[in-house]
Amino acid sequence: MDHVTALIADSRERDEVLRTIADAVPYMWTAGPDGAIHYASPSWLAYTGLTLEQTRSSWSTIIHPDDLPSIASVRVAGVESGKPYEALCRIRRASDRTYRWFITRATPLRNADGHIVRWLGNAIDIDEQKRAAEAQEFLAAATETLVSSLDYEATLRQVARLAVPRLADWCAVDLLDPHGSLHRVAVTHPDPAKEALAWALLERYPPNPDDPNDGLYRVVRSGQPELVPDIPPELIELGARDAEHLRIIRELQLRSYILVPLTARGRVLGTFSLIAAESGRRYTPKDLTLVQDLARSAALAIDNARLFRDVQRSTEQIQALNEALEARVRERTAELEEANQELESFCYSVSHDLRAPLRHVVGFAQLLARRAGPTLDEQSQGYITTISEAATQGARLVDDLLDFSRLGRSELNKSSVALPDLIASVQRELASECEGRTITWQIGALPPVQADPALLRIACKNLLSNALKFTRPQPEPRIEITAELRATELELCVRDNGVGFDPQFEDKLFGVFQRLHSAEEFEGTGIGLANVQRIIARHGGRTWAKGAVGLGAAFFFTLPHAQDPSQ
Amino acid sequence: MNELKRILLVEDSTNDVELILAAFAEIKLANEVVVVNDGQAALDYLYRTGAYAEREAELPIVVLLDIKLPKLDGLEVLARLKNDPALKLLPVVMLTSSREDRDLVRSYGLGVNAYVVKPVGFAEFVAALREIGLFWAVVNHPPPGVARDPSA
Repeated sequence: MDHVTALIADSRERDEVLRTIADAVPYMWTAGPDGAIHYASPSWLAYTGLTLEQTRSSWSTIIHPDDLPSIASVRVAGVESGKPYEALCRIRRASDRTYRWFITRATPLRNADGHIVRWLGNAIDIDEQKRAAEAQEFLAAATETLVSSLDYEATLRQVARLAVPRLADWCAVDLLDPHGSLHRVAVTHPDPAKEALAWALLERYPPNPDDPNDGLYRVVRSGQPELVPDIPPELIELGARDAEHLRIIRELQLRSYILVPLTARGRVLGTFSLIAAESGRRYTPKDLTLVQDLARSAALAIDNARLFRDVQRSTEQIQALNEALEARVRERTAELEEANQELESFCYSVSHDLRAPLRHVVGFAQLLARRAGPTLDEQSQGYITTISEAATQGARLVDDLLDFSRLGRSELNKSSVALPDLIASVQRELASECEGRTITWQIGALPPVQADPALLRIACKNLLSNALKFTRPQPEPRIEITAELRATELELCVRDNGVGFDPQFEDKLFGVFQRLHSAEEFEGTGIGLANVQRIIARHGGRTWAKGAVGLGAAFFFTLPHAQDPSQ
Repeated sequence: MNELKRILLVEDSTNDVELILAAFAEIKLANEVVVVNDGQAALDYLYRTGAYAEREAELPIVVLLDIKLPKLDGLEVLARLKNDPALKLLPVVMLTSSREDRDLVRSYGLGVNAYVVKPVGFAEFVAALREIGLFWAVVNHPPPGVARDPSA
């Protein structure tokens, strides 16, 4: 300006030039050294709606009350120090009575002596930039909040809190329940008293799903956002339920709103509402885009949290089920252990108490035979023999039954068993049964197996003993032992060409005390095959038989392959 | 044969006592057999207490002990004897109906000298007792303190 001053010597002419420049620049004003306004540009007067006189006397009325203290102090400090100053403030626009953000600057104009002769001021409308920056700030903060926690209701409350006053005077979040009703999660306003009023209003006038004028339910139904830059008075009248409601809403000075659905995976979860009121803000499509971005993040956060919660609930349910199951297993195990204990005691008693009388019968019958035998007739001697034999058979049954019971109770001690050695050892043990007979043994390749050697020996001995027994009538007895390796198990077979059995009784073969032959034909207690089945079952294998009367029999059993070769 | 040492038979079943005595007769084992019917009586006899306070001091050459007995059972008697330094060298043979593994295991664990399951057949019974009688009453040299007829 010094340059201008130098160029224009005549002060009247100079004022004229300055005024022309000032008029051409929007929002300009000049003031005296004391800060009293001399001039304001026509555009400024038009914006503020004040006359020059009013601008001089009451400029502060158009400044946002919140910004007034800071701008007043900056101005006083500037005037006193004589240094340029600037301030950020909201200034009301007369046309729509909204406040817009400005940067106002004042620069002193000095004469040759260095004294201030004028203040030159201007104001730049930065409202759009300021709002955009605030919106971005809000979006960043809100997004960060949304991903910070799984408690989505608390998160939504926080987001609503962040939205005021940066983005709105009112912010509300409503969520749909499974029955399709909206429930307000949050409503925020910078003034707590107004928040309380909003909750009270909600209680008194809850949103009505069936009311076509209810904006929230409209958005829920359509899934489309709504932007109303200027709320027309008739819209408020339509929305009001009664005169009282209308009065309250009018008092709230609602001016502009944005309603967006919270949508995730194609489902509307709720609504997000922003309302501008006393701030005089007016929403634009730009604001809508921003709010939609936010709504997407919020809906995703809600959806994720709910999914997580569902998974967690399922996990908890599974855990509870597992625990219940484990408890039942423990219970059953305890019961089984108790039953096993009882069985053990029972067997112990049988072993001691049931064998003794049978032994006595045999003992005394045989003593009697020795003492009185010679004096008795043949029939009486026969009776004594029968008594002795019957009691002996009874004792054998007791022993076999105890063995059978023991097989079910004793621990399995598995190791690698060489089957050919085991078979050879059983054959030696059964040599007495082979005496005077020519038996053709055909023993195939038998791989080693993982089994309890003592138990497997009992099983094999039973099968071979049976084969020897039931081939007795056969002039050319033949016994085959073969093995077949399958995917998960080894199948073993003991086949003979003995008397065989009726296939219809196959199921009965393996039952305890089940016999298909009379004791006169073939001796036995009927427990051998039951033992075989029990031993093989305890190894995780299966037992079955094939045969026909007069055509021999084949007994099969399987042993599963060891899971771990070291076992 | 008067000097043959006594055998203590602890057996509650009179049938068994009779069969055992018959078997001993069969094998002509001439040692005196003292019979007591329960575990407590066995201890009384060995410790010379109660009804046996007045018996002569000499210990039997072997104890034949049933397992299932009134009052104290055979395993309890065995435990007492084998835990007593004064009696632990006294030979004890379990003579029982039971073929239960746990009886066997416990008996050997307690230090029994032999374990015999009474066979069902009388001939086998005689054979078993012949072995026991011959070995413990005749062949075996008892440890010092358990007197044995030097002439046998």
